[in-house]
Amino acid sequence: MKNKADKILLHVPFITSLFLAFVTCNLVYSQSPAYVDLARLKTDYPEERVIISQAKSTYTFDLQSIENRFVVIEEHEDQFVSLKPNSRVVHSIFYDRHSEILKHSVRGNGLHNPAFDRKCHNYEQRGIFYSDAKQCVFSLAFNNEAEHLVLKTTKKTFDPKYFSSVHIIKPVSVDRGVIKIIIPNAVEVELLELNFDNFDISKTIENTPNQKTITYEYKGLPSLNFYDNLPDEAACLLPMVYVQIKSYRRANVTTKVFDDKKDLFDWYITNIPKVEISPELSDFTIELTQNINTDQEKIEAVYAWINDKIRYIAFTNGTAGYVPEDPNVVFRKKYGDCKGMAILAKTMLKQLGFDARLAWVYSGNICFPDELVSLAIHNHMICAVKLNDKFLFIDPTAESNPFSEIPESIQGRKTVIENGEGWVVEDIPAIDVSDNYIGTNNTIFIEGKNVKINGNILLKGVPRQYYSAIFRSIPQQEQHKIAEYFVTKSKAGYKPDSISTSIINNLVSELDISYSLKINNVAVYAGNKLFVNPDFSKDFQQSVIDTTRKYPFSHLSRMFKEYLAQINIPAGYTVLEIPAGIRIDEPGFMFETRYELIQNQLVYYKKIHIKNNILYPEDFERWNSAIEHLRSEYRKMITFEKM
Amino acid sequence: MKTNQLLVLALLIIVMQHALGQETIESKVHKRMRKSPDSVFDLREIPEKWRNESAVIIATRVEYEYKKQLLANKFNCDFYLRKRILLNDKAAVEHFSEFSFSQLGARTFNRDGVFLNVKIIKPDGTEHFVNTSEAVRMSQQSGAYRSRTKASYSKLAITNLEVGDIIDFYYVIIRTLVPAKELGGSWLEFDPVIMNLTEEYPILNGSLSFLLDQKTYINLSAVNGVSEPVHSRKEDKDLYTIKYSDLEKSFGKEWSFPLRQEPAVRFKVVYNTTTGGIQSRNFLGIPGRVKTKVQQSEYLKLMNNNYVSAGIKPPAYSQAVKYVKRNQLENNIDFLPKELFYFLRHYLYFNSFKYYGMYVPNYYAIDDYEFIKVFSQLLTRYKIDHELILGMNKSLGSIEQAVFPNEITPGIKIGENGNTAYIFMPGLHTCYGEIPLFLTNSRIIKKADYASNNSHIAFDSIISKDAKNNSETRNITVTFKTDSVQQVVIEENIVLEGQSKNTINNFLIMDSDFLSQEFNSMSQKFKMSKTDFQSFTTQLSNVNVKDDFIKRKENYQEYLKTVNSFTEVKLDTVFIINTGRYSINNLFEYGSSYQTPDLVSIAGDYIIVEAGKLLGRHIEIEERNRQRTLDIYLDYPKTYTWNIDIKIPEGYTAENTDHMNISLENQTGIFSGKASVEEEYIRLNVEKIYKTDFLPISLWPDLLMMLDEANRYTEQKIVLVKK
Repeated sequence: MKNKADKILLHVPFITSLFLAFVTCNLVYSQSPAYVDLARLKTDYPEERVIISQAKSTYTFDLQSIENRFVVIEEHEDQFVSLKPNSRVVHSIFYDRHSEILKHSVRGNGLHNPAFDRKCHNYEQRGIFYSDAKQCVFSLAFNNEAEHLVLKTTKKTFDPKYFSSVHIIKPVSVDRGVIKIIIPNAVEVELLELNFDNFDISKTIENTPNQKTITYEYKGLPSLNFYDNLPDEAACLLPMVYVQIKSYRRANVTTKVFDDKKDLFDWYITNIPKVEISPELSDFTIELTQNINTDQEKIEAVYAWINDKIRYIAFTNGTAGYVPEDPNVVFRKKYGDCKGMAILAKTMLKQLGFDARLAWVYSGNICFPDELVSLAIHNHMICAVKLNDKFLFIDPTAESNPFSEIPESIQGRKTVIENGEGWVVEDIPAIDVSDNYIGTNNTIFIEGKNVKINGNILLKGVPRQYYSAIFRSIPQQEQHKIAEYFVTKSKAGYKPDSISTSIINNLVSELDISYSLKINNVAVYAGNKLFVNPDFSKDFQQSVIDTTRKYPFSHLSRMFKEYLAQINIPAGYTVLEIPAGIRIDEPGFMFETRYELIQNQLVYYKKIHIKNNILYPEDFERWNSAIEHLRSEYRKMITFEKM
Repeated sequence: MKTNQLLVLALLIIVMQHALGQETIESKVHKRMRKSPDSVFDLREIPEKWRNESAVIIATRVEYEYKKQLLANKFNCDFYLRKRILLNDKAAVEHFSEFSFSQLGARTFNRDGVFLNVKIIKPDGTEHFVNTSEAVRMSQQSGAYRSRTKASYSKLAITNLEVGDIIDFYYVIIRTLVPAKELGGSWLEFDPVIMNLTEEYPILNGSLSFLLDQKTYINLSAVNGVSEPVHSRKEDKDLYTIKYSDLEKSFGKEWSFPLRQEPAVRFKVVYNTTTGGIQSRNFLGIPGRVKTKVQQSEYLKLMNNNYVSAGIKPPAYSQAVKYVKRNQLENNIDFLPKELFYFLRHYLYFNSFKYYGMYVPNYYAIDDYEFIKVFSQLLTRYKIDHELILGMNKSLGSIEQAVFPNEITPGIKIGENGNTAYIFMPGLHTCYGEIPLFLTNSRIIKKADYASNNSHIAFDSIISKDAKNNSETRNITVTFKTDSVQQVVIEENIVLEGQSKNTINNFLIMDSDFLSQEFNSMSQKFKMSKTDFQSFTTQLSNVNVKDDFIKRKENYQEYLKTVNSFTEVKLDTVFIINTGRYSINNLFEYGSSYQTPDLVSIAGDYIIVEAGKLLGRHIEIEERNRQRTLDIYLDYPKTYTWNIDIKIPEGYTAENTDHMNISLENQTGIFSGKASVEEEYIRLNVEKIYKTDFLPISLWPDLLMMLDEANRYTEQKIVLVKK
C-alpha cells in the first residue's frame, strides 16, 4: 500500500505535464502569430490601430440540410492584430429572419470575455424606426501591440433568394484574405464581380467532378474608417461579388430561383397585396379632391396630402421588406415606410380613377451593371401614374419636394412598374444639373470701414430641399436661424439687419432669402488707397481632398452655384486695380471668377459647377489644383484710389 | 388522491390570485392616472404668448411614492408621470412620434412593472388612444451562446399625430425594493434627484409630489421661485406637493448656472429604521417631514463619522507611511503635505488592486471622503495642523444651501494667511493646492480641530487665485515665407498658469510626456509592488512617442482651426516644454510652429495682414442674447496676454498702425492693445482681463462693452506696402 507522499509523487509527472502544457499554451498565446510581420504591417498601415492580418471565408451550399431547405453556409475566420496599444475594434455581422449566426468563437491573447464580447440585437439606425435586420456586434480589445484575436463565425441563410452578395470589405484594413465559394453541380449560380479595379484581387477556378471552387485572393484592402464623404458604398465603392442563384436541383427536381430579371420582377409582382379600400379612406379621398377639376391637380393634391400628413417612419423589414402594408392601416396610423406611402398613393389615386401603380427603383448612387439580377438592385418603392400615355412619378417620402421635383436620388434611374399581371421598365427623367441651384446676388455699399449688403439667395432643387427639410425638423421659434446661417455662415462680425424668406412648403420649387447685412471692418484703408474683397461666401475654400485617399469622394449632389456682387464705388474713389479672375473647366467641375466695370459699379461674378458629384482618386490632383487657384483668387482684393 | 386534488386547487387559487393581482395593478394604475379628477388635464387652450412655441406643456404631474409594505421587509418605490402637451409644429410632432420603453405590463408575480398609456386629442375634441400593444420589440442579447442574456425594449410609433393635436400620456414605474438590514433595523438610500422644473417647452400647470411612509425621510431644496412643498395627508401618510404654473421654457444662457438660477428642486429620500451611521451620513431629519436646512451640528457629525476614524487604516495609509519612512520625510514638516499629496496621486492613478483577476487602478475604489480621511489621518500622524472643510459645487448653490451629503465635496485646509493650501481628491494632473474649478471662490464649512468630536464649525470662503494668476500668455512671431508672401509662418510659445492650465493640457499632454517622469520620480522614492512595477514598465514600453506626437498634432491642428477660424493650417510642430504637473507654481508651457495663408490678402503692391486674427476667435454675444436678466457666472478670473511680433518682409514698409492702439477698462475687465513699429517688426501687445468670476446683472453692459472691443480688435488689419 502506498502512503500519501507516494500518491502525490505519482501525480507529479501528470501535474508537471499539465503545468508545462499550460505554460506552453500561454507562450503560444502570448506572442503574435509567427507569420505576422509586425514591422511591415505598421509601415503599411500607419494609421490603423488594428488590422486583419489574415481573413478566410468559405461559402458552401447545403442541399441536404435537416431542415430540408436550401441552406447557404458562410464560415469566416478573421485574425485581428493590434498595431498599437490600447486598441479596440468592433465587428458587426448582419442577419435577419432568413438567416442566423449559428456559432462564434474568439481566441487569442487580446482581451475578450465570453460574457461581454458579443451583443446581438435589432439593427438600429437613425431615421429607421424598425428593421427586422439584426446584427451581432463583437467587441475586441487589445492592451498591447502585437496581440491577436481570431474571430470565427458561422452564418446560415435559409432561402436562396436572400443570399445575393459576398462582401469583401471588413471593419478594418485586411492585409491578406481569401474567399472560397464552393458550388455543387446541382446549383446553377452566376457570380458578378463589382468594383474590383482599384484593388489587388485575383481569381482562380478549380473544377472537380461534383463541384466548382472559385477562389478570390486579395491583399492590402483598406478600411473605410478614415474617410468621410463616401458615395453609396455598396453600389459604387466596395469590391463585392454579387451572387445570382438561378436554380438548384434536389432529388431530380429543379427549383428555379432568379434565372433572369423576368423571374425577379415577376416575384416583385407576387408581393403586391390585393387591396380593398376602406370606406373611410374612400370618403376622405373623394372629399380631398372634390373641388379640384384637373387630373394633374388631383394627383398633386393626393401627393401633397400624403407628403405632408403621413410621417415617414421606416419599417424596412430587413432584406425581406418587399411586401407593402395595407394602405387602409397606413391611412389610419398616419405613418408608413416607402412601400406603405406608395401603396396609399396608388390606392387613393385608383379610387379617383387614375391608372396608378407601384414601381421599384434604386435610390442612391447607382453603379450596378445592367446585367445584374439581384434583390440589391432595387431598394425603394414609389408610385407611378399613367396620365395621357406618360408616366408621372410620385415619391411621397421626399418630404420637402413639390410634386414637380423628382428626388435627385432616383432621377435617371430605371424603374420597374407593375403592369397588370406583369411589369414594364421605364426611365425616370433626370433634371438638368443647373436645377440644383444656389444663386447669391449682393449689392455692396462701402460705408467707412464697414460694408452694407442688400442681397438675396435663391435656392432650387437639392439645396432648397435640404433647407426645407431642416426647416421642418426644428421648432418654429428656431427656424429663422437657418436663414441666418445661410446669410452669415456663422461668421464673426456678420450682423444681419433684416432677413426674410419666401414661403417654405412642399408646393413651391424655389426659395428666396432676402436680407440686409452689415459686415464690420472689412474695408481697409492705407493712405489714399482702399481695399475690399467682395466675395463673402468663399465657397469650397476648405475642400482640399487628401490625395492618399483610396476611395472616391462624393459631394452632396450635382450643383450649380452663382455669386454676383455689384460693388458701388465709393464717392471720391476710382478703381485702380482688380484681380484678373480665373476659369478652370474640367470634366466633372468648373470654377470661374471675373470682374467687370459697368459705369459706377464694379461687378464680381463667380460660377461653380459641380457637374458630377463623385470624384475618383484619379481626379483628386486636378480638383486640389483647382481649389488652390480658387483660394489664391479669394485672397486678392480690389484696390480703389482716392481721386 | 383527494389531497393531491386539494393541493392543485390551492395552487390554482394562488396562481389565479397572482394573475388577478397583476390585472388589478394595471387597472389600478389606469384608474388612478386617467379617472381621478384633475381639472388641469382637461384644459385644451394655451396662452396667446406661447402660440409660436414648438409645443406647450398644458399640464405635467410627477408623483414619487415611498411606502413600506405591510408585514414584509419590502418597500414600494413608485413613480407616476402624466403629461399633456399641445403640439404646435412639425418638429414637436416629430419629437413625440416615437416612444421607447422597457417591456410594458406587470413583469413578475409581484407588483412591479412599467405602464404606458397614450391618448391623442384632436383640435375638434375627438380622442383616440394609441394601441401600445402595436409596439415593436427590439431584442438585445449578449454574451456567449450557451450563457447569453436576453433582453428587449419596445418602440412605439404614435398613430395619427398631427400639428394642433394634444398628446396626453402617462408613464408609470412600479418598483419593489428590499431594504438592507443593519443595526437592528433596515434602510434604503435612494439616489438624489437634482432637476430644473423648467423644460424644453413652456409649462402652463405643473405639480411635483412626494408621498412618504413613516420612517421615510426627505431632504429637499426648492429654489428660484419654487414654492415650499405643501403638506397634506393621503392614505394615512404624509403627502407633500409643489405646484407651479406659467413657467417659460429653459433658456440655457451663456455663463449661467441653471440649477442655481432657474426654478429647481433637489431632493433625496432615505428609508431608515436603524440608529446607526445611516443617519449622520444623510442629514436625516424627522420621518415624514421635509427637511430643508442642515444644522451645523450635522455637518460636524458628518465630518466626525467620515474623517475621524480610529479603526483599521486603509492600504493607502500604510503605503504612504512606508513612503515617508523610506524617504526619511518625517521631520520635513514643511514639505511633507506636498510629498504626501504627490505620493497619493501616484497611488491613485499608477498603483492598482486586484479585482476578479484584473488589475484596477486604485482611484476606482477610493472616493473623495476616503481620500480626505486618509490624508487627514496622515497629517494627524505627523502632527501637521489642518482643518477639515466641506464645499459645494457652486453651480448648485452655496454650502449653506446643501441639503444632502452627495452635493458636498470634502477637503482639507492647511496653513493660514497667504500660506494656505487646499487639498481635494486629485485628478491625474492636479497639483498640490489646486482647487477644483467648481469650488473656486465659493463658501465652505470648516472644522478647526480635526481630532476633536466637539470642535466648532465655522463658515469661510475659498479665495482662489485672481486674474493675474490664472493667465495665458502667447508669445507669437510671424514671418512671411520668402517664396510667397501669401503664406506666413507662425511660431508660438504659450505659457499657462493657475486654472488656465486645465483649459488645454488635457488634450495636449500625452502619456509620453509624463509617464517616464512619474516613473523616474516615484520608482526612486518608493518600492513598488512587483505587479505595479510590471504594469508601469508595460505602460512605458507601450508609450509610442511618434504616435503621441501625431495625436497631439491632430488635436492641436483642430484647435487652431477652431480657435483662430483658420481654414487652412499646416502644423509643423507642437511640443510640450513643461507639463506643470509637480507644483501649482509650475507653469504649463508649450510651443508650436505652423503655416497658414489665411492671414494675408494681396492687392497689387500691398499686403493686407489680418493681424487681429492672431488673437483667435473671441466670444461674441448674438443680438438675441444681449438682453439678459440673470447674473453672470464666469468660469474664473483670468488674464490673456498676446505679445506678437510680425516681421515686415524685405522691400516692404508698414502703414499706420494707430488703429491698433486702444485701451478700455471697467469693473468687469480690461481690454488693451498697443502697436508699434520697431525696426523690421510690427509689435502688438494685447491684454484681455476678466477681473472676476461673478458679475451682477447690472454690470452686463460693461461686460458687453469689453467683449465688443475685443471683437473689434480681432477684425483689425495692418497694411504693408512695397517700398
